[in-house]
Amino acid sequence: MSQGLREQLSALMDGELSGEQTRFLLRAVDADAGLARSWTRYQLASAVIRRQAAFVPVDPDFAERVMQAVSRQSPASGYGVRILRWAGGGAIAAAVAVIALVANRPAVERSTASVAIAAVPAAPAQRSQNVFMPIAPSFDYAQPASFDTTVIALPRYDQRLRYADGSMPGAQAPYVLLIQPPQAPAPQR
Amino acid sequence: MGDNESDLALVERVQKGEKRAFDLLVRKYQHKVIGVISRYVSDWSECQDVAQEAFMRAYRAMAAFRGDSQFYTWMYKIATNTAKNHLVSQGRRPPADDIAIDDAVQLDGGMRLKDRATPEHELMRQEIEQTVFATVEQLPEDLKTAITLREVDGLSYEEIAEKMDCPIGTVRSRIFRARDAIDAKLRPLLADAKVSEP
Repeated sequence: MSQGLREQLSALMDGELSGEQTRFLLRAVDADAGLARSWTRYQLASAVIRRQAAFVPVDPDFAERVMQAVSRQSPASGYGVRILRWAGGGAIAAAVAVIALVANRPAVERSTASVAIAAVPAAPAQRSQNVFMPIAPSFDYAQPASFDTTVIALPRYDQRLRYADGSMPGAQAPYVLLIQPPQAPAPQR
Repeated sequence: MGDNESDLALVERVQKGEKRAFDLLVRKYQHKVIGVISRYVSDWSECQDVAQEAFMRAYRAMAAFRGDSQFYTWMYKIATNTAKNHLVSQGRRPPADDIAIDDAVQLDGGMRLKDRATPEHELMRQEIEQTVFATVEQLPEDLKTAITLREVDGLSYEEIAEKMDCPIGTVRSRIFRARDAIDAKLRPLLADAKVSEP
């Protein structure tokens, strides 16, 4: 067991080893189980000096058992997740494009119609003022990223700009809370 | 630089498919994790099984770990959830007196197991502590200062180099020599131990 490799283990403990050196060191640990045992003793000494941990009894084969179980697992590589994320990102982009297309179509049709009618004198104040119509919030049930079992219900409000006649121009309104909190009833005399 | 950087470097290697890096994480945290689980599961052997399950879950979820929190904080959550799920699956109720994560990660994970430790384990613990502190005391001054600045004060190699007015390479070497000296005393002590070192 080379002194240089043990010095690298010590530097790795302190986060002072480069990525490349870490890669080579891990290969060396693979080939020499003594290095892994040195690592555990270094960790023990460090914990004692920092007064972080007491000597907790652990089965001497514990780490080996875990690693045997791990070796039966598919690798925890991030590549699969990255591919899924990439594919997911593409799907989201496509969905957004479709929504934008569908949402903008009525506005285009309306503008075409208004050009056709432009020759006819418009009746005054046909179009009412834009208002934001509150609607009852629905609830998204979101699971936090942690392993906690808590489920959080998040209110979701329709953010679309609506005219008083209920039509929607397709544009997105700024994100504002549209519902006022309930008022306390006035005291009766 | 420190513990978290070291953990993140290992996590990154695990995410790239190097299982040995996970072995080093298991060896580093096995005692802390078992200590945490012992708050929920009192039987020693059962505790080890639940800890193994917790590490397996961590391994399976490793690809999703993005370093937003410290590795141990993340591992702690997995360990507590695994212990609670284990109790529920056994028809037992998990304790209500949960400790906040921020406090718990600072606590000595082995408190409960330490309380229930056999006289053999307790003797071993005392021997280990005495050996480590006695060895540190006997180290040459430059090694003692370097290891103390690193382990007790948590300084980086660069900061230690500044304090000790020497190159970073010398700091790295001094810290290693200090650890190696302690290791030389611990090795025979742990060779006959029926339980592994953390």
